[in-house]
Amino acid sequence: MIPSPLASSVVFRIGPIPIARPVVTTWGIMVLMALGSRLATRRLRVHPDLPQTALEALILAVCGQIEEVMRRDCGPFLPLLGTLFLYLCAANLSGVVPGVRAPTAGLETPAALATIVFLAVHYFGVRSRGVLGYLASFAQPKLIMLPLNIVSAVTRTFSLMVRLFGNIMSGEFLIALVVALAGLIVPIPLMALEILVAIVQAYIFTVLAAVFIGAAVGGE
Amino acid sequence: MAFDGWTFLLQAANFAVLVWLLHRFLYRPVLAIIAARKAEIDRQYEQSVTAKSEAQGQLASAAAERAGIAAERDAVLARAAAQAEEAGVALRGEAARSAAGLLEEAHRKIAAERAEALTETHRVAVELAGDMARRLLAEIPATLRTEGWLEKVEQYLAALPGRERQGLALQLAGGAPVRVVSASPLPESARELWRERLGRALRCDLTVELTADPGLIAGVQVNFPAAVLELSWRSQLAALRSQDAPAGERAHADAR
Repeated sequence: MIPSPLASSVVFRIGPIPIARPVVTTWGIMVLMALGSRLATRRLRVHPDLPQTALEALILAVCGQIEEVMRRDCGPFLPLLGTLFLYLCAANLSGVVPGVRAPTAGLETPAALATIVFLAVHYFGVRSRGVLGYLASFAQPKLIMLPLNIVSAVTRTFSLMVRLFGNIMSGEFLIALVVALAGLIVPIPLMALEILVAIVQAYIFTVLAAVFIGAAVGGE
Repeated sequence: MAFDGWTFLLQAANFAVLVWLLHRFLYRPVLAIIAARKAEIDRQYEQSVTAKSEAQGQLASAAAERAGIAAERDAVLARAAAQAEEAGVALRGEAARSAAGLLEEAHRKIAAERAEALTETHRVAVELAGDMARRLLAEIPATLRTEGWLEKVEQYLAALPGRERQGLALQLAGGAPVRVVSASPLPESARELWRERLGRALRCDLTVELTADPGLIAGVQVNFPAAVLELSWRSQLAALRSQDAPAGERAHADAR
């Protein structure tokens, strides 16, 4: 029996829990990002040097993008949305590294991220409007929109997951097919395109998450 | 298509942990340092605003001091101008008084000099007149020149009161001569004429001595032992001089 190419292989087990490759890859990404962040922020100064300036510019760019989309202060949303963007960039680009498969090329990681966004939308919505106020927002602008809004809340989360999974998985499959058929050099342009797609998909996922959360929070 | 639930849960947990890690090691320090920088910038801005306000205050005080200096300068200038005006008025008054004094002194000097000049001119004129008369009279014979004066002497003696005329005769009673002084020497023949006519006028016998004095200009001087009768132009000119002297002083007074 030929195993499904979409299935994640189990690397090892911790008791009854199987540890698949996307989890291991994610752990690696987490370690790199956490260590990199620790090193980068170890000696921050009021008068910054060039690396600190670049780091602050990155954080402020993400923050600015969030504020531009949500029309709110980015402070409460930066940890979730900023981490979402940085992790998606790292996870999507990890597929370019030989021997590494992007965690987002499997269905579980996009599903987990989409689920977290789904929960975060309701969390920020309830925190901003209250339970009743947030639930009442589903009946806006008309009561007849209530079923559509409920279905929309689920389907847009599903679309988030599928969009990310489909783009990254298809890119990897395409590169793998080209490598199998044409050799080592030919897929390089496709890999460059995949880098672009990886960053664009991270951006799209994050912006859509910001839009969903912003809609749940409501305008100030 | 397989879906591993454990992987789904682990990835969700992994992402949650990653959110915490980045929040702990990335976002919070970076945002904190940005906030610190913003606070530093705000602090420096506040300091600059304070410094600016202080500078503006100092500028305002400097402007006020400058205005005060200008006002003081104007006051000093006004005071100096008033003092200069006062001094000028005093100097002008002093100059006017001095000029008036000088003018008065000059007028006085001019009047004095004019009076002196008038007196001198008059004196010179009298002397010139005497000189001219002397020269003109020199053309006339001495006897003719003295004859008119002899008649005047006779008239004078005749007009005298009898007692005075007798007094004159008594002066000659001892034989003292009557000395007749003429402006030019008289000939010896004139002596007899003078003796005869004076004797007749005094009603006594007498002797006459004749002498000459050009200073008389014209006329005679009859010298008795104790009296002198002079009828000459010299005495008349002297009388004129004495009359003109007050006239010179009057001219001096008019000039003043």
